[in-house]
Amino acid sequence: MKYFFTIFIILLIQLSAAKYGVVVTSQKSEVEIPTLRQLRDVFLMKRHYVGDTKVLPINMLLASTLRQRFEKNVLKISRERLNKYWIKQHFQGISPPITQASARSVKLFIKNVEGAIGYLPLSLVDDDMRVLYEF
Amino acid sequence: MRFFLILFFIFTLLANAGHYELGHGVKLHEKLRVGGYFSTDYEVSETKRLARLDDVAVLAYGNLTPELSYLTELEAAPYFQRDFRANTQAYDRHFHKERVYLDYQYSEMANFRLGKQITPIGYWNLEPINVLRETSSNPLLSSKMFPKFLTGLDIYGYLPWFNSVTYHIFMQNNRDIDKEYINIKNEHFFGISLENEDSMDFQYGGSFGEFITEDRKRTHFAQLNAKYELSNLSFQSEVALNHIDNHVTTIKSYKFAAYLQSHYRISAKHALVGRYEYFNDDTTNISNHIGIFGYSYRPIYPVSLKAEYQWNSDEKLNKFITSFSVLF
Repeated sequence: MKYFFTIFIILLIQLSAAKYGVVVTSQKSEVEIPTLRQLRDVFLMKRHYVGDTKVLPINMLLASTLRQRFEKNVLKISRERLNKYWIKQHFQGISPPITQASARSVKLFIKNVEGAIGYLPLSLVDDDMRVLYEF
Repeated sequence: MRFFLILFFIFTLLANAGHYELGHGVKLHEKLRVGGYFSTDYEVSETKRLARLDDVAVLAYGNLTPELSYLTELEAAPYFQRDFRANTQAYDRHFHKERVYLDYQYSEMANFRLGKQITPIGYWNLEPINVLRETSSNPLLSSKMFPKFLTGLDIYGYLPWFNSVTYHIFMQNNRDIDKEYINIKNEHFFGISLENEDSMDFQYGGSFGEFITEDRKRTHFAQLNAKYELSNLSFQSEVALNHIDNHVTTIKSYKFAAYLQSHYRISAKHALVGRYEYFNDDTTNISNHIGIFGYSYRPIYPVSLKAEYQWNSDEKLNKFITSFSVLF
């Protein structure tokens, strides 16, 4: 009984960790820790630098639950309003951040591309990554 | 015929684009995204019954390097118009250079935009096309108070120590790239604008500067703007004052324009809009109060069907306008 209870607790912790998101960059990257506003501006393509470092934001696919959580807690904007925002930006010649199909490909992108910033489930963060913001 | 060819071209692109969402353009290459828009309107007043295919435009943009990007936009407006009361019609099928510029992102605090671009003043001027507006008509402030376009250099970025404040310092000391396609013809234009984004819902700012028109009138302008957005209700307002110094006649005069617009979203697709405007011009002795009440239907955001009635203090100018516009 004790054995099953321990497994249940471990599973529960892992499940909650999978829902817990972090904004990360590569350990090699010189990106300073951004404020929440800077982070929002970066993912809305209003700001292309954090401090002296050029940054490249990476999104997950539209259907991703982590992306929905990121939009709610970091961008603090509804999907409908975000869609309206990007349509207006299209007229200004600005496209949304590039997307990657999975959290693992986001991770790979961040490790290989200088200045890349993305969000991942906490469970995928390793020693090669630096956490910039938790959400 | 050319219009239908453009539509055919756009639809062919869209059909070949795979995943395409209206209003977001088509990515044809890593360095090229294309889009376009058109608008049609129908206006009825005491003197006119006018049907227009107003804007027909194509735009292309992309990143050449991580720091360098470009945008080009060609537009014909009004592409075709027919006045049923006067029984006249007119065409302008020449595609004008509305925007042609390069953008260089140097740092958080300093970026450079060189070429013909929208003048970075206020809100209305930055989203001038029918489909992005909430009314078919434009307030007089947007066309009478400063040149809509700048053919020159804009230095812009975030102000140091103010995380939410952006600035623009813009300058022009030459003629417009497409001189026939600008509201105020000028060869000298300089200005500074500041904008504070207090939150996504509340923003305010202002600008000042000067321009010299072709007929040698030096105008100093000052302008303020603010907008506030609640979940279903939004307000937007701009005020501008011009001091005009005529070098030929040495007469000095003032021009003033302001508007306050509110927009109420009944549901995701339906909205009501109201606007009050005031315009006063010493030189021409024109003073006008304008009230507008309108309805907007957007089945999806980049498709807009609008209708409005305009009351003017000069009743002869009262009019009904309806429009249909799409952004590709």
